[in-house]
Amino acid sequence: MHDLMRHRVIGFVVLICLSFVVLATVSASSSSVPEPILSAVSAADLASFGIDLQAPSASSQVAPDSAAATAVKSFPGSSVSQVVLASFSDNSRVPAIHRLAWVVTLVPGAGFRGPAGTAGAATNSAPSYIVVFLDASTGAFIEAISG
Amino acid sequence: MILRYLAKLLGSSLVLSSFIALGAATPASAKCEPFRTNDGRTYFDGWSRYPNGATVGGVYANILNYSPWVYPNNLATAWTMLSYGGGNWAQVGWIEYSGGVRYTVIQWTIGPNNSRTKYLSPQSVGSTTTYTVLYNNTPGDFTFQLNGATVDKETASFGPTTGDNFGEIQTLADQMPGASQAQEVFSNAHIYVGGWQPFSGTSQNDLPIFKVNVLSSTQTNIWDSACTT
Repeated sequence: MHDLMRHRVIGFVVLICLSFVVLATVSASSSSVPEPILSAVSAADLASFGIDLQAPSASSQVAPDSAAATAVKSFPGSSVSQVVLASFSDNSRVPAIHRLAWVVTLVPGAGFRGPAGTAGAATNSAPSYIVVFLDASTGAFIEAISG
Repeated sequence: MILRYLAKLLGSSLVLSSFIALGAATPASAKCEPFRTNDGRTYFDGWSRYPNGATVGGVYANILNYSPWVYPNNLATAWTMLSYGGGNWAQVGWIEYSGGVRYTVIQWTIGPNNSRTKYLSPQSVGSTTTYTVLYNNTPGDFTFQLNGATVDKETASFGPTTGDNFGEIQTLADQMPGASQAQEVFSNAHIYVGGWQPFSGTSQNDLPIFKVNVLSSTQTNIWDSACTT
């Protein structure tokens, strides 16, 4: 009877210890996922659009190659320089957007421009990057930015 | 006798309304290659309002989402804008790149001649959208709206003194939005100077081949004279 009680107590203690180990491992692995960093656009530049990228909280249903192809099709003539999965937020949009997204950085094609500014004082400067944000569940276009 | 008279009157009314309907119908626009040189220069066509240095709190216009012919690796666009001097602006409108790739475009400057551009899903071709830019509607921000719904807000880096509604191309080889019988339309145009008022702008075209017709204090149409439909 005493032996049975002792085994139960030991079993309970081992279970508690194992739970702590599992929790610690999960916590360590989630905090070790790095924040996505775009090589062509600084976090400060992204912030000037209201955009913030954090480590992804889930995996994607869409393959990165497929996301890259969609992004290039959205801006013909461009080429892909980076594809990262991220928890994407655009806090300038109304309502704000928070979504798991493929973030595809493009090198603009020759001659790519946006609107050129005011009539009579056109600037017509070429942007150095385009970033396309695609829904990681569906592959759908969310938005793009250039600067 | 009376019945015969009524039938005659009704018949002529139907004929008359058919004529009115035909006259008012807008022909479907088609892409029209103007066959001009690719000079890489930017051209504007539209109207502008500078209310003597007063702060402009907003501008809006109903813009036809036109689909013009675009030279390879180039663009055509039409928009409403708030601006200050030559190098500070905030605008919203439609944009089309060669190959028929279209977006709703939002662009603003974070310092003189330092612009940021967002591309959103496009409005459908042939529809008309009220494109609006507001200044200080929420303090310190530019607010961008489509059909009266806010879609984006960005920090304002300047106080605007001018309102604009323009079509724009970035080479002479592009079709300026509009054709003589299928014009690009900026209607219901208004500007906020202490209160909303008719836009009443001054027309401006960079070349005489780009036509601008001020139809009223709230409407101007533009088109490329090389194109009929």
